[in-house]
Order: sequence, then C-alpha cells, then structure tokens
Amino acid sequence: MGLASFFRNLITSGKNFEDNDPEKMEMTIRYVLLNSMIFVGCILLVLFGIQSFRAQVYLQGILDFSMAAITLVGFVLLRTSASFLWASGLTVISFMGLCGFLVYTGGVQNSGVLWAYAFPLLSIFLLGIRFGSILTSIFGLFLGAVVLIPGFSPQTYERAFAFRSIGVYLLVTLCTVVYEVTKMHKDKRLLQLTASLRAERDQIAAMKDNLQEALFLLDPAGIIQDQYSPILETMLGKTNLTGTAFLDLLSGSLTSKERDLLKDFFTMVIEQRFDPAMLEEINPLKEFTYLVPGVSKEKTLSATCSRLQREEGRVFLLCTLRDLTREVELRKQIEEEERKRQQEMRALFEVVHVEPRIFEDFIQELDSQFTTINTALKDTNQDNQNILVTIYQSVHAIKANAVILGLSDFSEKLHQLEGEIKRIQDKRLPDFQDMLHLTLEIEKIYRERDTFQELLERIRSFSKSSGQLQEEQVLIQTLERTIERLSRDLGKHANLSVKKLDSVALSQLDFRLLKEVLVQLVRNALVHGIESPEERQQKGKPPAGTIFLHLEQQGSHWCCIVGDDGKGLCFDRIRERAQHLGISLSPEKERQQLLQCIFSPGFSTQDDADLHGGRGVGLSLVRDRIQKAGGTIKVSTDEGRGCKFYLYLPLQQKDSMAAG
Amino acid sequence: MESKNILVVDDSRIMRNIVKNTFATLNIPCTFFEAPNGKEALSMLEQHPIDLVLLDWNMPELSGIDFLKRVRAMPQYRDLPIVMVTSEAARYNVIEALKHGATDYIVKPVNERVFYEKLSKIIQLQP
Amino acid sequence: MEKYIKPFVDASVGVFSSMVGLSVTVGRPYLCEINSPHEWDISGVIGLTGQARGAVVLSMKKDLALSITTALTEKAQQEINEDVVDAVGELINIIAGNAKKGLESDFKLVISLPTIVEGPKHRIAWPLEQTRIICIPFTTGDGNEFWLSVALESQQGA
Repeated sequence: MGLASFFRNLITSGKNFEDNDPEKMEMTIRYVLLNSMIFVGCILLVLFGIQSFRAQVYLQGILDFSMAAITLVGFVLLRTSASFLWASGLTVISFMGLCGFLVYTGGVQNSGVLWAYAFPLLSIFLLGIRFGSILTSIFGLFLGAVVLIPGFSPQTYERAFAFRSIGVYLLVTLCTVVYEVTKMHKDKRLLQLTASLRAERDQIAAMKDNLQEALFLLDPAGIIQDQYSPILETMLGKTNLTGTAFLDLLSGSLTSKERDLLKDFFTMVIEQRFDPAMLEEINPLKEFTYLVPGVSKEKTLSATCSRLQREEGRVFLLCTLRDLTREVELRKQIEEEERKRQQEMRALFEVVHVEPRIFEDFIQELDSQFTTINTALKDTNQDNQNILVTIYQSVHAIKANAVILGLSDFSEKLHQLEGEIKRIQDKRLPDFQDMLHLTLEIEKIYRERDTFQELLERIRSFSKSSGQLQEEQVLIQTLERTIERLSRDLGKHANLSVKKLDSVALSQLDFRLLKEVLVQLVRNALVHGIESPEERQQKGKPPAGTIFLHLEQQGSHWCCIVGDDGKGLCFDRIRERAQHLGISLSPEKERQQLLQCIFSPGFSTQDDADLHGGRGVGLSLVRDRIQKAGGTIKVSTDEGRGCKFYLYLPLQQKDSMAAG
Repeated sequence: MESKNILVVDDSRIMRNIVKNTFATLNIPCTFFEAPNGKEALSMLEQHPIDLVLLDWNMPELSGIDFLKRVRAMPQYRDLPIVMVTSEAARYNVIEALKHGATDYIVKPVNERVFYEKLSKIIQLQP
Repeated sequence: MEKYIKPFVDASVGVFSSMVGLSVTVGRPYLCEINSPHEWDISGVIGLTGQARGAVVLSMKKDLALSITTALTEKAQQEINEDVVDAVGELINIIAGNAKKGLESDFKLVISLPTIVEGPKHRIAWPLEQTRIICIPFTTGDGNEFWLSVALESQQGA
C-alpha cells in the first residue's frame, strides 16, 4: 500500500480534500490534472532537451531544460499553500510560451501548429473560464498571425492550411468553453440541490430529535433500524437499540401470548390487509405497562405503527412510542378523588335524607366549635401552647361528630389535623409559620362546612320529613347512633338504656353542651369500659353491655349520670401511667388523685391513638366544658363491674357556648 | 457642574417629596419638575429640557411603562436617562422595563445609598 | 397557601422598618368573616390579578396612620387628610410590589392602583367569593396595631 499512497500523495500535492464536498472534489481534480500535466510536460521536455543536446542544437536544449525546470517550480508551488492560481498560471504561461515557440518555429515536419490545440483545453481547465479564455484568445491571435501573415514566421503556410488550422483552433476553443460553462452550471445546480437537501434533512432530524414522541422503524422481522429518535432510548431505558428486536425489549412486560399477538398484528399492518382505522382499534399496544429493564420502574407507554414503503420496494413499520405515565397517574388521581367524593356524598345523603335536623345540628356544632377556635386564635392574652389545647379539643369534638355521621373522609382529615396540632404542640416554641399553617388548615376544614351547608339547603328543599324532631329524640338518637357505629367498629356489643330524661332539664340546659359531653362519655364507655362479648361471657355478664343515662334535678343542681357495666377503671394502669408521666401520688389520697388523673389532657392508658380514642383528650374536654358551664364532674368506679360519671350543672343555665 | 433638570413622575405627592429629598442628598445642583402621571409627564417633557426622569410604574391616565415606550419611540429622547423608581420588585417587571429602554431600575422603598450608586453615575454622564 | 402569605408578611416588616422607621412584630394569624365588623379607621386595598387573583388589605387606626404620614412627610398631621390617604396608599403599594418578588417563582402578578377606604366600620370590596380571609395582626414598636389581610387564589389549572 505504501507505493499507492505515495503516488496519490504526489498527484494531489499532499492536499486532502473531503469526498463529500463537491467544491473540494473539483479542486482535487484540478490538482490532479495540473500535476499530471507537469509530470508529462516535464518528462517530455527533458527528453527533448536530451535529444537536442545529442543533435547538438544547444540553444533548443537549454530552452527545453529551462522549461522543465519551470514546470518543477510549478510542482513545488502546488505543494505549498499558495493559491492554485500561481502554480497553474505559471504552468499555463510557460506552456503558452512553449506552444508559441513551436508554432513559430514549425517544429518537426511542421507539427508545431498541432501543439496549439492542446492550449485552449489546458488553459481553460486549469485557469477557469475567465483567465483561460483571455490567454486562449491571445494565443489564438498569435496563431492567426503566424499562419496568415506571410513573413511573420520563418515558415510559410498555404491559405487553405491557414484557414483550416484557425478553424480547428476556434472549434476546440468553443467546445472547451461550452463544456466548461455547462459544467459550471451543473455544479452550481448540484450544490444548490445538496444544500437544500441537507437543510431538509437537518430540519427533519431536529424535529425527530425534539419530539416528545419517539419515532423508529422496524423491518418486517421486527428489528429496530438505525436513525431512531434519541428519546426512544430514554423511554425504553436502554441504549444502542439498532439491531435489537423490539419484541425482545418487551419480553419482561408482556406474556408470550401477548407477544405472539403482537407479531400477528405487525404482520397485519405490513400486509395491509385491513384499513388503518380498524388496525388502530385492535392495536394491542395502545396502552401497556412497560417494565424498565434493570430498574424496578414501571411506565405506561403507548405505541402505534403504520406501514411504510421505501425505495426498492422495501417495507418497514413506522412506529411511534409515547410515554403516558404522567397522564395515567393524573387520571388515576382524579378518579380516586372522584370516588372518594362520591363515597362522601353517599354517606351525607344517607344521613341527611333520614334526619336533616341531625345534620343541621352537626353544622351548628361545627360553627360553634369554629367560633371557639377563632376566638382562641384572636386572644392575644393566651400564649400559643394554651390555645393549641383549646383548638385541639374543638377539633376532637368535631371529629367525634363526624364519625357518628359516617363522614369517614372528613373525619380522616380532622384526624390528620389533630396530628398536625400535636406536632406543633411538641415543638417547645411554635413560630409564626406553624400558626399560619394551622390557621390555613383550619380554613380548609371550614370550607368543607360550607359544602355541607349547601348540601343541607338543597336536601331541605325536597326533603320529605316533616316536623321537628324534639331535642330529646335528637339526643337519644345521636347517642344510639354513636353506640351503634362504635360498637360495630370495635367489635363490641352495647345498648343504650335511658332511665330518666327530665324534659325541663333538657329545655333549660345548654343542649349542645350536653350532647357533646354525653357523646364523649358514651364513646369513652364503649372504648375503655365495655369489654368484648367473649370477655363478658367469660365473666358471666350478658354479651351486650349496657350504657345508661339518667338526668334529673338533685337539690340545687341538675344531675346527669352516665354509667356502664363494663370493666370499670383499672387503678393499676392509671397508677402506671401517672408514674410514667411523673405525677406524684401521696398514699392517703391516692385513690382520689388517680381518679382525678383521668381528666388530665394527654392522659390515656391506651397505647396508640386511633379515630376512636387514645389521644387522652376526651375526658379533659368533658371536664373543661362542664367547668366552663359552672358545673362539676365526679367519677365512681367498681373494678370489674362498671363505671359511673356524675355531672352536676347549676339550675340557672346560660348558654355557655355562645361566641366566647 | 451646571444645574440639572430632574423630572419626578409619581402619583403620590408624598413619594415625589421623598424622591426629591433623597436625590438632594447627592448634592447635585438641580431644579425639580413634577408630574402625577405619564400624560402630564409627557407635556412637562415637551415644555422643559430634562436631564433625568425618575419614573414610577403604577399611575392613572398613563402608566410608567407606557410613558417609557412612548418616549423611547421619539428620536430626540432616545438617549434621555429614564430611571424607574417603583414598588414593582419582581424580576419580570425589571426585565420588561429594561427591555423597553429604562436606563436603570430602583425598587422602593428608596434609599440614599442606592440613589447615590445608580444616579450619580448617570447624571454625571450628561455634559 | 401559606407560602403565598409569607412574602407579604416579610414585605410589611421590611417596608415599615425602612420607610417609616418602625419595627413591627407579627402576631398569630386567624380567620375572619369577610365583612365582619371591625374597629379600623382606614384601609388600603390593592387588587392582584394575573396568574392568581385576590387582594391585600392593610388596615389601621387613625393614630398609626397619622404617625406614619408624619414620618413620611416630616410634618405633623392632625387629621386624616389627602396626605394620609396618599401615605397609606403608597405603603400598601410598596408592600404589594415587594411581595411580588417573593411570589415570582409561582405567579406572575399584576397589582392595581391602591384604593383607600376610610371611616368607621368601612366595608372592603373583596374580589373573591370566599367567605373567610386570613388576617395577620402586627404590632408596632410604639404599641400600635395594624392588620394585613390576604386572600389569594391561583388561576392556573390547579
């Protein structure tokens, strides 16, 4: 190979021009042409020189050798970075001189004139149309002078000869010029076409590369061809896809049956057996789950394909691939929310349809609690920790009501809000951000209330239930509902037994307060007091527990007793808890102190909190409310047998729940 | 240095006074002209040769940004130094003002140091 | 929503400190019925539109308004006059304009010209249909109080 590349280097003057550029290729041709001419010319001139010296025509010999030298100069020039025009100009002009000499002197057997015909070709090809034509014309005139003007040159030419020689010169010149011009045009046109083609190709590549959809081609055997959108690699989680079988990539995501189906589908598309709309309908890849290899990630992708015919009748499948993961996620989210909403609505409808009065009550309660909360927020005399307790109690109370009414979504939100409040309470110094966050969360809950109100109005307008339920019925029904729901959730069984409900008491007492407190106590009884049916049976009790309620006047007070026949308070556990919280107990008053403990906020013998209990707030809320209304609360317990709460409220009752 | 003519444009009289007072701390001899909105600012500009405009953004009749656009469209005011003095602090506001030809941008509340840094350079560029 | 409120709080603190020369402390925020009765004498309202919609209202009593104006004009003010209205308007304008910067990564907002409402039990026209607004109380270094109420709703698709 060494010789070939040496030769090539010589003939192109060591200049490497790229193959792809037509302009550069033309330059290469020129270099090759000029170099060839130089070699040939140089060799010829050297031969002539030798011959002349042999024939002892020394002048001619010197001329020949000097011409050869000039051509070598041209050769050297070509190898430098000097413009092509220098070397070619030098060569052409020296050649012009040589031809002129030969024409003038006649050469061997008058062959001198023959040299003239080589001139137009070389000068125009090497120097281009402009300079070439100028030099050709000058030489043409010289030739004309030689053959037509008698005495101009040492030879004599007959008229006929003269005209023919000039005629042929003109012919050669003309042909050369025509050839060169048409070549120039052709080249220009080619350049234009190439440029526009390139631009188009770049544009398409840009589109393809930037499309969020991946485009790729599959041959009839299902192999991915080169020239695919780069985003395909991102989507499929694999690089260097050229030559990979598309179906192999899906092997982790589809069953073999599904893949066979896909193969059939591809065949159908290629064979054009069905119309595109139909194919689109049966496209098995319209939406599929793709498992990204090597990573435990799942994506939802969508692929479509159509038949593509290229040159030489080759058929391909043009496929597009889209990543639908985000869309699908959002869709699922919306569906989930819709489902929850529907569930909520159903629950609401259930309640409201049956007893709109109860629902109205619920909303009024809500409002009243909100007022309490907001008043606390506004109260600049209280520090953050104190009002957090107040807010917590109110939220807890609302939650209890929500649970009764079966508003699972709403009560879940409230449960989360309780958690938030607890989190802020645990910080020693809650800051502005925390309080702001809290206020905004409360506002969100508030907005639900507006929805409830709206719903209530709408239901009212076509509600069938007539007549106002009396307060007594509302109270009893509420408590019964509470027990029913709760016992179902806890897997226990209990009944409400109303011993006596003084109606004067009911009308005089703050109804809302009473209801709130009684609901809490009843819940407490169920969660902490009443045992499971099995346990009860073991102890010889009836499987269903009883929660009883008694309300009547006792001296200067209203006395309300809420009791149960459950397991009563367990002093050991209370003691344990008290010690854990660091509450000191004196031996004489221990029993009393322990009984008081259960009313402290945060005190609970349950280990973890759930919707029903365990945060240790229920009883503290009850005591707070009773105390705020000017009353007292006492508890008596019989371990293993049951527990009773005594609420004493003054006879003159003002509405203590008014905008505090 | 000879006395410069400063045009203060702001719909708040109090603000105009504050701007004037803050500018005074630069100790550049000047005469103040005032306008409560863009429209009157334009007529002020026609009546007096102005060396520097201190321009608010939100004003009735013609806002600061519209005043700026109009003035820059007039070839004789192409190089007039116009500095926004406005409460609009967001970056997209700054970019919009500079795009329409504001020479510089000062966010309220105004402060002597900022005035000094930004305005002394501009006013001294004037012959 | 709370990250929308913080820029306003920060702007208020900053503006009071640099323009009026009063240091202010932020109190506990709470909820207010949109047109519940209040004790303020003067309020400055700036409407917000664009990628979010709402308003910011600065409310205070006469004394604070007067002392603010006195600080800005360096002239003692006795009654609520043109200058006081100007001062309160400018104050809320600067607070809103500066707050925009803190919100710029979430919204592009346009602020309106300030409207001043004054008089006992004056009513503020809120542009939104909500029933409650967040009120943030501030206390100044010299014992006065003012309120900043903000209501902002995103207009972009969620």
